[in-house]
Amino acid sequence: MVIRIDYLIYVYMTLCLCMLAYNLFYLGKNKWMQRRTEKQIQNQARRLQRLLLFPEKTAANVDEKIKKDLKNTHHLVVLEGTVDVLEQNPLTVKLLQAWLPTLKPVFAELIDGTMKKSVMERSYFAYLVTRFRLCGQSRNDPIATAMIQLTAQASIYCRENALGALYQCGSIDHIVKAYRVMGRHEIEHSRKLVTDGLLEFHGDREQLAQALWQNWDEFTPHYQVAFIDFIRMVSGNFRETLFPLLSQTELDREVTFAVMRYFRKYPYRPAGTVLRQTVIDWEKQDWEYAAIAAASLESYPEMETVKALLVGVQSDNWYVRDNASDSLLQLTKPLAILEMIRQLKDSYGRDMLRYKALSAGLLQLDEKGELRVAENRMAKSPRGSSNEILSAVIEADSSEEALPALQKWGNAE
Amino acid sequence: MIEFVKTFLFCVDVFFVLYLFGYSTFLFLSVIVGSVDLYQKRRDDELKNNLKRKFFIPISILVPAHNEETTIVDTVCTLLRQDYPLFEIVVIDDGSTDETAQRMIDYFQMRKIERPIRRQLRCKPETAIYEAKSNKIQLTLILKENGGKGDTLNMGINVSRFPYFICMDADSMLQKDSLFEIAKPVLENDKVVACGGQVRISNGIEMVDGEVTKYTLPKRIIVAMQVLEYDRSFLASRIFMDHFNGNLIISGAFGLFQKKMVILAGGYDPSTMGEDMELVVKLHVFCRANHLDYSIRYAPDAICWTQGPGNLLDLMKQRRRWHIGLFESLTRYRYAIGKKEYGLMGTISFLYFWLYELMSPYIEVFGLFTIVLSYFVNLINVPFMLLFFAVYAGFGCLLTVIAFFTQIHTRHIRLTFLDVVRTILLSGFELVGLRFILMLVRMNALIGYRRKKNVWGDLKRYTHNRRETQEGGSEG
Repeated sequence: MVIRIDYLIYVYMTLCLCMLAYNLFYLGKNKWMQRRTEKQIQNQARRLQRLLLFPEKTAANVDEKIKKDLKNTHHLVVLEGTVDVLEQNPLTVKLLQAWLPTLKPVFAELIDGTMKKSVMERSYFAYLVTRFRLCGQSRNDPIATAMIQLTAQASIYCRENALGALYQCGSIDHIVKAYRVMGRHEIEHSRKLVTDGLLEFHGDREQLAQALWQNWDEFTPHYQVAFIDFIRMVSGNFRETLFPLLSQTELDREVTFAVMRYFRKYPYRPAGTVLRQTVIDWEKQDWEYAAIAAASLESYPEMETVKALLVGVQSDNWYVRDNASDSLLQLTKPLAILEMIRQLKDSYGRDMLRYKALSAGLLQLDEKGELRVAENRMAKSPRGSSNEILSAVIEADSSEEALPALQKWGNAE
Repeated sequence: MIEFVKTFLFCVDVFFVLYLFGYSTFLFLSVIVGSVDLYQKRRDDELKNNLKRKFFIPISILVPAHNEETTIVDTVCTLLRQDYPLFEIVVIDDGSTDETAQRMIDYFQMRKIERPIRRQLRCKPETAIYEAKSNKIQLTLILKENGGKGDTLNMGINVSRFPYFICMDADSMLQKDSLFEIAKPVLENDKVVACGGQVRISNGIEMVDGEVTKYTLPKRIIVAMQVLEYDRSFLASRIFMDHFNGNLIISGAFGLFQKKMVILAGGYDPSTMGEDMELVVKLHVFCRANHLDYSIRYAPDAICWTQGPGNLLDLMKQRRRWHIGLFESLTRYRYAIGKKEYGLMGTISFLYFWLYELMSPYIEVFGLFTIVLSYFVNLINVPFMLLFFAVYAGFGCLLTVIAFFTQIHTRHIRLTFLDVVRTILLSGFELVGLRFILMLVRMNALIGYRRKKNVWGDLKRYTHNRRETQEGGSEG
């Protein structure tokens, strides 16, 4: 068979013309649909407003008609637009809030049909459930059950919308169940989305954190990290609970990092010991542990911490030096930092600390290019020489001895 | 002899039939897939299939600059208007001989500082570092010895603090949602190691507070034709190749990268002219060779507005650089072609770029030569040839027009009637005029390219049509 290339190009051209026609058709259809939708929204808003304000004078079928049409996705769009319009009206806003829950049985009836529709429409359905607050707290609530089912969808948007509805209903059971379902389907929803989503939970977040912890072993490390991040945002009551994880050697490294970050926000004395040890003693491939521990130590103002951080500042790993310097700036006063810079033998550590202190405005360069404490940081003149203070800190053996020294250090300025 | 010529011309005929068939099919599929994708996206937005909340990943924006005194402050100002919670801006001045650095220092009141730099990637040494904070956003300016764009970007990566970086040109502007849009694919899938944004020509737009308020086709014909060309390219091939993780180009004007992966792959190659394409191909090859699960994406909603060359000479310079870059990237990684482990990227993408981008000027000139030869040996049907050319040109114009209008009306942009007419006329002129000139430029691009490898393609810059309404903003 001989293929004539000119015929092929004619075919392609015809298809392109069809595409162009489709573009024009789409453009026209879109404009027409937009106008039609706007008109429908206005009409429906008028009818619904009358129903809300004068229920006794309005024909009973108005409510029925609105609800009957909702099988069609376009009518759901019109309903959303109607709600937008009526929410702007102070006369109807409260009445509307009372009317929206009456949609619940209608939405429950729509579930079967929706589940057969495209994932985009399912996702929109979940969005409207959130928007109209239709998800119930009870264990057998059909809408909640549907939302939990939707969390197993491949579409991230559908999962997000479904989770949004569950966060809003405020049921801890639903949330735990949803994450179990996602875990079972091996779905790794973005950690950031999980943490931020959980923070939008409308119920008791502390209790939600407890519930997640109680079911801890059922979740993969992917979700455990997100949950610890969530717990970090909502509660400081997990210090004792999480502390044992810090020393578990077989624990997923990301989970350990999350726990370290928790102890950065909520200092816990036993955790401080572990963190200090992590900064001082680590294998080359474990630098991330040391770096995160160095950052977490900013919340542990003890002499031992300063000593550990001085080791960290002189580490051969950039990130450990970087974080240890930041923490040192948090824990010590500019004069001490100046002395540390003068006395540090490691040039990498010295450069890092110097840059950080200059950048934070704690130190400044004088006309000769010499480092000195920034003028706005020199409130008082030191009572002892800075060398003595630093020596006192470095030589101190226990935190009980060191704390007064640190205080003196602080008062010196 | 005549038999030999006949046989030769027959073979040429067969080759061109296959060549054009392949090209037409690719273009056709690309435009169809691109259009369908954009319509789908619009429907997604209508039905709230998007991420509502403002999630973010920390991003370092790297702006390499070389003699960019006209635009650098404007560019940084648009970056500062980004509706994004956590990012820093690093401007790297690659040995400018104009006032680029001084404009930055004066405008943002930057102060000199000694900052340690972690040299994970090799680059020319710095001569000074300045820092400032603007609206709580860390702004860094590095002055370094001249080393070319790749070298400059490597310095930027070394200095950056965040796990993801964006490289962009110093003559470009971002819309205020661009960072959020380009970060979206990473939020949706953490296997994404790089993501390209859409680059559009800024010459005809007005931007107020990071939003495009006015869109017209640029008055200069040379720029207007580039608008059509960019829209066709970004709508068609990139969206199509995105479907099989086969994009080989993330424009140097706007792309997001995972820093860790880029460093592992070796960073930008300072010795190449097409450092943007080289890096993307390198990432593909690195990830596939090491069996890493990865994805390189294209985000059509992340839009960057860049200046197109305003005259033919500048355009020729730019295209010459691009063609050399293409040549270097494709020849360096030629072993990826057709290998099973490189998947569709190694077959469709590589073959497309080899045949229809790199070799096309030579093939087209060869085609013209055989037409002349055929004419002399009286083996050509002139009316059919003309009809064929007309049909082919019509096909090309149609695709360009479709791509342009799809971009326009899926993005809610309004055009004047005059612009619509100009678009249709220019689509023809672009095909037979500009394309022909650029074909000659690309054909000659490789002649003597080794002598001018690490030079910046200095183009004439224009001030952006940008305004800020809030107090403290500057007018450009």
